[in-house]
Amino acid sequence: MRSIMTIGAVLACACSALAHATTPPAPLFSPSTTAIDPGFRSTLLSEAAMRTGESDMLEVSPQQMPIDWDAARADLAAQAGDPMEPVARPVPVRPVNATREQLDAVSLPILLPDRDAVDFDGATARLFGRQGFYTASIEGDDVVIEVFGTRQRVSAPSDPRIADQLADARDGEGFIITPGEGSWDVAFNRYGAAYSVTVECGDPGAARCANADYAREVARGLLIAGGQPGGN
Amino acid sequence: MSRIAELSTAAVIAASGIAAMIWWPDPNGPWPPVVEIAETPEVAAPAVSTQTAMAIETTPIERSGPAPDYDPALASDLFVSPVVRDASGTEADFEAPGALVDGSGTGVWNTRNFAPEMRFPVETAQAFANSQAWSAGGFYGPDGEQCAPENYAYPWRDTFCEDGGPGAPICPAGAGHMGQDLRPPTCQGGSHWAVAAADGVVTSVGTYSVRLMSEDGLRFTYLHLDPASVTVETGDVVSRGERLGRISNAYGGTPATLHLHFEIRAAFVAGDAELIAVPVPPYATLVDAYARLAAGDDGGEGA
Repeated sequence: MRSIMTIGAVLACACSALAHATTPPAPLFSPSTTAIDPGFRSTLLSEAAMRTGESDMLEVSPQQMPIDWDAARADLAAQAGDPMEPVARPVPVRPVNATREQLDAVSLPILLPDRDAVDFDGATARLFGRQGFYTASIEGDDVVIEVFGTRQRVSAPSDPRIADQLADARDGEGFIITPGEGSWDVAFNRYGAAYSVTVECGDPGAARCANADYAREVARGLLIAGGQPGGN
Repeated sequence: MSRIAELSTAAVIAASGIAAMIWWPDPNGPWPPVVEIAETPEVAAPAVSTQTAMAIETTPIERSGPAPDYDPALASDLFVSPVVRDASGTEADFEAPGALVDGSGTGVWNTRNFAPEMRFPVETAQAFANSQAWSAGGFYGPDGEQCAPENYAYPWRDTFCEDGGPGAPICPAGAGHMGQDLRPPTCQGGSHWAVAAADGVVTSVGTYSVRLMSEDGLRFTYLHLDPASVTVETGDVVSRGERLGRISNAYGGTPATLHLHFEIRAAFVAGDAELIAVPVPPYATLVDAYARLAAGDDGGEGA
């Protein structure tokens, strides 16, 4: 009995020592954690402050539209809320392939769906980021959700009326709704970048694709999950 | 072992497990991610010509200022179609952009080539762009069946914005079809391949769809691929011209006709809505890509 307890204690100590020895600089949040621990938060704020000391001008392509990073920072602060308040906060879906490097490599705010808006089990999210654009996809339950974001501009279609038509088609939330074949698309501009949410159902008659409601709901719940000026 | 010993052992194991869950390093970092946006300012680099959209060379005139109502006859005068001999040696013919099937709605005048380096999305240098809905065998079409010879013949015809769906704000009538329908060389299912229009990554594979993001930021959507034939998975990096899947009539539980529905999504400045990313009229881009493929200038088999 005593020997078993001793082994257990040694095991626990060893495990703890190992854990501390290998603890990465950034603490781990369990995917189920919705309240940000103030202590962890302040540590990370310090690290971020050191990072912002890099004041070199970052080049972006002339085809790239400017980003309103101040607006993104303000939204990010609102999204994070008061770290002292232990309330549940929205959490974006976690792409299985997302790394810190990938999140920082995109030169526009990365918006991802709120995981609560993805109302099906077994969803697999992935992120494909490039310097001036990205796509996030969520697949599962016979549905595909894609979020595309870009700051890259091409010339408009030849007929100049198209631009005005699109501008006039914005609803009260700034969304432009376009139906597809078995899908719905919500396009909008935020921070100067273009974003679109596409929801496609394997069965075109499925409830999520019967109208634009579900696509709107996903678009409304998008959260900032990464992106840096200039990308890296 | 006594009950106390068993409980102690269980407690130690549980404590170790919890410690591991809390502190074990996650190779992908924390989640939700702690995002801090750096204060580093951005500056535009000197202009470098990349895959910038341009008008196709065969178009002598581009309208400026307020455009008159669409007039197919006028558009035909403005659009000089390229000389193309397809893989069978047949001389191709092309209706003007925006010239839809009579009675099928109002098209969009566009000669903008959104992807000047795009690979034609059908593997062969023979395909027929026309309406699957408003031609023989289609839901709104005249009598006949989908394999009718006139469906597998020139001229090509634009299908962007044709009637058949609920509101599409980019279309003159405020509703319409958001892509180009392409029939393969023959009406034989399971025989003809859709291929990658550009180097890029497959961002999703749906029940009957494949979506591709090119390395220069365009989005290509392929619909009605035979699910059993799709050769790619989400996350696959593909090369221009690589096979994606066979063209079929797949469309959930209700089959369409045999065709590839192809979309290009790009972002452009839409008045005071600023930069907006929506499906853009792909017809002129496809005409140009087809001409290059048929001429043997594009890695294809040529005519």
